[in-house]
Formats: sequence, structure tokens, C-alpha cells
Amino acid sequence: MVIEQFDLPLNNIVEITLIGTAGGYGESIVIHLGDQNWAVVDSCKDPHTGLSLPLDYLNSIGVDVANQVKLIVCTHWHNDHIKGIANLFAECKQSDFCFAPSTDVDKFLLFVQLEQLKKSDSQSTTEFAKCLEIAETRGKPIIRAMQDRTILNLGDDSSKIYSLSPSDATLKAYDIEISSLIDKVSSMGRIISEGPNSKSVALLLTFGKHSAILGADLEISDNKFEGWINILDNSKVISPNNKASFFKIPHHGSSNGYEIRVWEELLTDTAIGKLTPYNKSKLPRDEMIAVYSNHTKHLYATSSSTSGPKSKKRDRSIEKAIKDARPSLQELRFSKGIIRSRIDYTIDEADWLVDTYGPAYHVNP
Amino acid sequence: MTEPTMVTSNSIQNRRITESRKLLDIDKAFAFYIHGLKDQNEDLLKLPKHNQWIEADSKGKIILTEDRLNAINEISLPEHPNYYTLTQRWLGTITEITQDGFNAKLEDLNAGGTNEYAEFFSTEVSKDDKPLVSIGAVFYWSLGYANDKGSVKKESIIRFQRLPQWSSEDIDSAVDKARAQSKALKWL
Repeated sequence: MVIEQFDLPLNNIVEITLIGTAGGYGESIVIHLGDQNWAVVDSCKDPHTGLSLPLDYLNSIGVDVANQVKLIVCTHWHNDHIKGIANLFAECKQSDFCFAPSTDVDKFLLFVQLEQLKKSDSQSTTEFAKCLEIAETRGKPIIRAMQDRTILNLGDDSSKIYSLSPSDATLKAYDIEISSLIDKVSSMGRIISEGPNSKSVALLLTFGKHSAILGADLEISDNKFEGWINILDNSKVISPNNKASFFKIPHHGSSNGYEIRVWEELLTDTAIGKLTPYNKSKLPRDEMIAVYSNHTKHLYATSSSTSGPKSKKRDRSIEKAIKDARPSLQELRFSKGIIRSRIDYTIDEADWLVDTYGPAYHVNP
Repeated sequence: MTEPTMVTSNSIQNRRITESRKLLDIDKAFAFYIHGLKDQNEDLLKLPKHNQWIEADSKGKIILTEDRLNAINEISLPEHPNYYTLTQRWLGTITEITQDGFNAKLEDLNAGGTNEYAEFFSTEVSKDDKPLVSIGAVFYWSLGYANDKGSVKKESIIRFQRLPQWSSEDIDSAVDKARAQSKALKWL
């Protein structure tokens, strides 16, 4: 159903809302865990207004963000997952903040501070630096995400959130990478981080008899002690008797985030799959849409993965100059798509009710 | 804001501003200003927005406010031969290296808003900048109309960002801040 007006869910309703943007501006997940307890996973911005989209969503439905948002998770530091998260954290004054630094936290902090020497707001670590400052001011501990960790627990019979990654092996490799990046600073004055996706924080949500898995941008690794294979083989918090009925498909539906065992071993046959396309990389590819459609009849996307070429409107003489000098120039068009899923978690047999907004759509109705 | 001073492309040839006893070729000043060749200069960030002269008309008239003239007067200038009347600027980040060059994501520095992407060829990059071409490298691309000895021509210029070599003081400061933060932050 198409959403015409957003509203607050009732206390017995769990809501998982994926906000995604065409054009690769990012994705974020807003979660109602019941009883007006909220969590937010990642943030992205509207390029026109600069607003954090999850914050905008929460405000629009009347959530008391200062008090009711209990947890903010930053899955990794790619721009399409982190933009606006500092502003979000600043507004959510009672919220915990969770992410996955390297095991050697001192080195991680040094890396972030060295990055700030660039004095540019464009690097994603600037958002991290701001979040660290907020946490420092509040004196509230930061939660380190790692394999099989409870990062939010609302009570014995209430909702819980677990981080499923990064694994110990990934964090060890991360330490080495951070050291290497720091070494580059003095020689190059430029740091290019490699492969944040591998450090992505995948999450397991449990509520009543139901559960959901949010795949972040976690990929399949050659190392069986990392990524999805490690979760499948070694996770102690995933129960084979309680398969998830909801899956945020990792990494924009890319093939490097796909593992058949995830669908066979972790998800129910009727699980809902949601993804955010990444238009510039033309993700997801048609063949992956077909693969996911074989696993579920409930595949949703926040927008189409393709968009026709378009140029921005400018002064006509500049448009002419662009046409002559750079015909390949194309706008990364922004449009916000929302897929909202709600379930009465107090009823064991309840099903998800899925609604869409904007360009979001049911891929395989 | 003071009343704008109207000048034209002809009248500014070899014009000098001497308010602070410095000689300044305004042609070069604008070339510098528009291209942001000294992007690390914090003074540049404080300069007024330049929408007024971006919208200069086709006759080459430029409206300069006094504060802009003063601001330009305060910055040192590299050599640049052309005077630009209309320019679109982007901040690019290389996302992919291709056989012929690279692809880049582009942020619109004039109007902001949505990003763009485009393909660039190696032949467009100067010899000095070629070693800087790598994934994640940042560059400025400007496209505009240049008045080259009286004839107007389109010009596309790509310049890669050169981050300054940080001093030991800079690095020490970052180290100190990280240590202080490490002591202050609590982790679960």
C-alpha cells in the first residue's frame, strides 16, 4: 500500500522503515522496538536541504527524539551510511551510540584526528569525529559493535538488538589497516581507507517470537572467519529455530553481499527482502534481482536501480560549454523512497504489513 | 555592504588596486579567485559569495563590490594568464580508474544540491598532476569562458588538490587530541 500520511505506530507494533535514496545519497533504517522505544541504523542526507533523513522522518511522525531514541548504530563510515549522523546523535540526547572501531581504540582515535587535519567536511570521518565529541561531552560510554554482542536490551521479554559483526578476525585486520593508514599520513598527507564494507555492523533484532536481520554493507569474504560466512558458521546469537522474517539485503543487492546460505539457514521462506539501489554502480544488477526474487516474493526497493541520463539546469551558456566539453556529465538524481514494515510482535503468527512511499516499490508483486 | 563598482572586461585590463600599497593585476586576481588555486588559504573561505559576478552578462560586465576588491587585494596571487567571465566549478573525487582516464563523482561548488558524475580522460590532466590520479584523489574542475587577449573561448581546467605536508606541530596536536579523547571517552 502506498503511504499517504505517516503516523506513529502503536506500542505493540514493531516498525522497521528503510529510507533509501536514488542516486547513492544513502540509506538509513528507523526502528520502533515497541513502547515508543526507537533505534536508528545509519544516516543519510537530503542533498538539497542538508537534513538527516532519519531525523526528519522521526520528527515528522512526532517521535520525541531527545528521549525516545535509545540507540544509534553507525554500521560503517561510507558516506552513504554516515552523512548527518552527528546531527542525529546531537538531537537524540538519551541515545547510546554504537559502531565498530578497531580493537586498538587509541590508534583509531588518532586516525580520526589525523583525518581532521585535512580541514574538509567532505570526508566521512568528520562525522565520526563530531560523534566522538558529543559522546565525550555527555560522558556516556560508546558501545563497540562486535560479533554476537547485545547492544540494546529493553527487558527480558522485550526487544533486543545484537551486533553480528565485525568478527574478531576482521577487527584484527582492521588494527593492521589503521596502523598502515596512520603511517601514510606524514608521507602523503592523504588517507584513503580500504574496504570499510568488511567492517560493517550487521544486526539481529528480536521482538517476541519474531526476528529481523539488517545486513548493512557486509560482504562475503575470502576468509571464512569474516563476513557472512563467519556469521553463518560461528554466530551464537542466531537461533536456527527462530529464522528471521525480515532481511535488509546487504550492499545494495550486490553479488558480493549475496550468500545463498543466508536465505536457506537464517531466513524464513516468506521473509521480506528490502534493498536500496546504488544507481551510479547500477546496483542491483538484473541477474541479482532475479536471484533475490527466487528467494522471496516480497522483494522491495526504495527506488528503481536505473535512471535515465539527466543534466542539471544551469545558465544556458554553461550548459552549452558542458555539452561540448563533458558530454558524459550526468546528475545523480535524488529522490527519497521509504519502505515501512510493521508487525504486531505480541502475536506469534502475525505477518508484516508493508507500505511504500515515493519511488519505493514492490519489485516482484 | 558598499555600493558595487561596475567594471568591464576591457576597463580592467592592467588595472591595479593600490589601497594597501600592493600592486595587483586584477586579471590574475580573478583567475585566482575563480579557480581557487589557493584552496588551502583560509582567507579565501572568508571571502564573500560570488554569485553576483558569476551572473555577469554576455558583454563581460562584472559587478564588483568594494569588499570583494579588498578581499582580493589581500591574497597573494600565482601567475595565471586568463580572465574568466563565467565559470562553473566542481569538486571531484575519483571513483574509478579506467583505461583512458577516470570516472569521478562531482560536487557542484556553485549551486550545491545534487551530485553529478562524469568521465575524464588522462589527456586532460597536466603532467604535474598525473601522479596524483588515484582512487579517492580530489580535484577541482572548472569550466568557463576565458577572455584570452580579447577573444572569448571556452576552457576546461582540472587541478588536483595538493594537501600540505603537515608540520610536526600539526601531527603532535592531533596526537595530543587523540590522547585526551582516549582518556575522556568511555567504552562498553
